[in-house]
Amino acid sequence: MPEITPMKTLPRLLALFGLALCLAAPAAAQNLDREPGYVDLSELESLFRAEPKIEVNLKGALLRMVASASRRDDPEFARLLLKLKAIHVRGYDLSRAQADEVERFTSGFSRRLEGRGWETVARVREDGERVDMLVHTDGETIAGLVVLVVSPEDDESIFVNIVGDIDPEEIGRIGSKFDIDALSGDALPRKK
Amino acid sequence: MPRLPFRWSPPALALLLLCASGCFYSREMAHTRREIERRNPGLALRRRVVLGLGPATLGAAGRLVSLSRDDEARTVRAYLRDVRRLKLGVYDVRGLGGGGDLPLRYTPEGGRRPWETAVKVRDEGEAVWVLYRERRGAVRELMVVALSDEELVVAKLEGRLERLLERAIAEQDSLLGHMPF
Repeated sequence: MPEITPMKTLPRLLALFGLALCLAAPAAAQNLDREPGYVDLSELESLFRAEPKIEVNLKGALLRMVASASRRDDPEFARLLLKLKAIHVRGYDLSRAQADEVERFTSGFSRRLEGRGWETVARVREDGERVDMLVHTDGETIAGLVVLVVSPEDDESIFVNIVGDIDPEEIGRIGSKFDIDALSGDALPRKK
Repeated sequence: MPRLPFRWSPPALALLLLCASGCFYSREMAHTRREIERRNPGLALRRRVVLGLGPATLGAAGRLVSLSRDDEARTVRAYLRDVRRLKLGVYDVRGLGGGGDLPLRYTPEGGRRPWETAVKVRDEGEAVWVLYRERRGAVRELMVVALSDEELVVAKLEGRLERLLERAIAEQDSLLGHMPF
């Protein structure tokens, strides 16, 4: 039986620990779809029968870099970003002819999310525009946020999914920093 | 071993390396060009420039740039410091029709690690796609594909890109600050 000594075992353990750290980050990125706050927005392409006009996917190393870049000018925003796991945005052109179909889809999409434990916290119908905002809570914290905007007046539809530990009071800050108007309101519940 | 009948001065060597790299054929760029043509029927791309700069040429370029006292040159050198490899392709565009939204459909070559789409924007007369690849939890490769009515530009960077991207993002004030959400 090979001799086990601290001098031989410690470097191996350290090497294994280092290897585990290297592997952990990519593995965490790959498992995003298992996060309770994650919503797959890919089915939107078949609804609109087109690629999005705007697509944004911030996650993993890229999201950490945005946080790091913001640290000097806005340290609070950087801290907020570091608690997030992903920000996904899809923006589509919306023709008048599509508006009804997209609104029906959005209603069905919201209901399906509610069936999976999501809670609608805001539903606004104003001047033909429709905004649905849903959150997924994990104990005391919000683990995911979805905003669905259908705006025939502006000829566009915007779908946003934010995954991670979200402080509702900071949602407006994300909205204004990334110029996502749909997140700039204060429709979300305040933290108790 | 026969000796060369003359001595290369370092600036001349750097210049030669830079010029030689201009006559570069990149399999990856060729794939990107073919794939964009295949996915966008009617679109024809004609090669204008394809450049490939490796660690040696980028190092030489950095040293050449550092000879200048210009502030912009210093910024360029700071950007180049962390880039290990740079490929650039510029193509003339034909058959796009002109005006309106550009259809940019492109599936980058996956390799062992897939490319991730960071940002994709289509606007009137312009479409931009920013893709990246991670390794060990850090962004190591970045590809920017920009298509307009007149030209297609494909730029691919490899290296330790965190500092470069952080600087670029910080200088932009907001990564998505000008996007029409």
